[in-house]
Amino acid sequence: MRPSTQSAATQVEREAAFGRLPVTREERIWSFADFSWVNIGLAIATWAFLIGGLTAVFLPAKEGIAAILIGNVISVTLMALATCTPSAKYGVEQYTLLRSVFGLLGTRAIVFFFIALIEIGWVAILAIMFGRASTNVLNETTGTSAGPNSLIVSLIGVVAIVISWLVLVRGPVSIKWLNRIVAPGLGVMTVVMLVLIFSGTNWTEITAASPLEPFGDRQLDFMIAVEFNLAAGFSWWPVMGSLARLTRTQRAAVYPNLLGLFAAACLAEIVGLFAALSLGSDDPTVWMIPLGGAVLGVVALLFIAFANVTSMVAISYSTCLAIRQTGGRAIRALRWEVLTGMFLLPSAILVFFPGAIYDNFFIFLAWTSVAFAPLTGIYLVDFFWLRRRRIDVRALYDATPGSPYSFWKEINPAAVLALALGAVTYIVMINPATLEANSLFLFASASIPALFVAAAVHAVATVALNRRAGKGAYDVASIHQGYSQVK
Amino acid sequence: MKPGSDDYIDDELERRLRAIEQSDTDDPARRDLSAGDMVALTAIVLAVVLLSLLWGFSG
Repeated sequence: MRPSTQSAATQVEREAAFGRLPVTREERIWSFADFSWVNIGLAIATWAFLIGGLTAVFLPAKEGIAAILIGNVISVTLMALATCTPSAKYGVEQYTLLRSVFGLLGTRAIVFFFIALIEIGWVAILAIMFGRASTNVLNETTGTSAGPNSLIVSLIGVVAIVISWLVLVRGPVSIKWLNRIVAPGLGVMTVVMLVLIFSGTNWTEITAASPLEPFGDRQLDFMIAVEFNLAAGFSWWPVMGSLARLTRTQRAAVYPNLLGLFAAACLAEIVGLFAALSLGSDDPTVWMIPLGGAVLGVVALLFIAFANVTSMVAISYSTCLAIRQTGGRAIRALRWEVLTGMFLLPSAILVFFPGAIYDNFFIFLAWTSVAFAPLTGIYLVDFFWLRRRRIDVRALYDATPGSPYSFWKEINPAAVLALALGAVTYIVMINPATLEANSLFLFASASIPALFVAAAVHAVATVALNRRAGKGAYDVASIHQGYSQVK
Repeated sequence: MKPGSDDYIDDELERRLRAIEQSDTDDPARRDLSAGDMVALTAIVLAVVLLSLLWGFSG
């Protein structure tokens, strides 16, 4: 059957099945430049405006720019090294490779309990943003005055989720076409926003603008903003490894992250920071009409709504694919329409609490780092130090009991313990729900200590437990097959 | 054998693993990042952090 005539379900099934397979040299299609454009397209999304606006809550312009740059450069570099390097080297997608770290059931638990829950939250936030943007358009064009937490916002949010589901069931081709329109459009919108901001104000006024709702402790405000930007960078963890397997070299897999997820995302965040400071609101859906006037503002809001559907579809597609690939036979038996519908349903419920979800975006962002910072540390120490960058590719696909990466009944207790203690470390440093921080947080943040504790615990527990018991194929000298042999 | 069936995927996996395991396979992706790359990445991070702190808190 020709790909163009395949049904969406068949395309998805093929992608889920073939996506697990290692790619050969001929199938690696992305050069350094190609992957840079992929990264830039991912980075310039509406959530960058949200994070820029969030930074303005705590910091003025210059300190805000510093926090954005510092948080993102650290987390994007560590996340890229952890996820992109192994996937690029072996041409294997991230969740198959994670079997060498957590075991089959351990990886499944991570996908179901961390990735799926976090992405459900992201979809809800983007749907509410869609609802607020559309409601502002309605208010402007019809003279109504629906509030940001009104029922109409939730109902339009549900419509956004239904549209996303309809695009999802049409399969990967429709998603590709949406992305080709949205990424360049958002790039243009970012530049236009910057021009409009500086046509109404100047650098001196922007740098003199006060943050929106700071705690008042300069160091605490700065570190909280750094922490949110660390979380923003780490939040790419579920996505990048599976993309990087298509790059031709490890350099082409890692450095483009600095151009896209760091540089391009920081640019969009900084524009969001300026807009929030000059307009006195951290909500991007409030900025557009004051910035661009009625006509341009309405066009911008409609485009934000459209862009959010694209992001919701992209998030849902990659997460449902990961669920499909790791979920076992029961999940594989579900029809694609049912699986995507089940995934989107909780988000559709959450949009009925727009104030609690959207206005507490910062709490959600902090919670994501509770998981992704330790996961990054564990993956880094496992691949670079414990395995000396050598994986037995054949063993990744060996599901027989007692196979090299089966650990203890398909769970690696060392990695699970490390993840738990890393998460506890984060919560000890700063409570994500209340932002109550201890004194160490003022110097070290929460994500970085959580990453180091998780890495250290994983290293010690692996040496003490797995190596001693001969579990997990950590004796890299014994790996004679696969890529390791011909390195 | 039907493309997409379990047997087809298993055969395709085996074909790819064999191709990967051939000792004459030369894939540039297998060349690890060098110590120079690690130094460069560390230098980029440190430079951005230090310059941002100095500029962000100046004046």
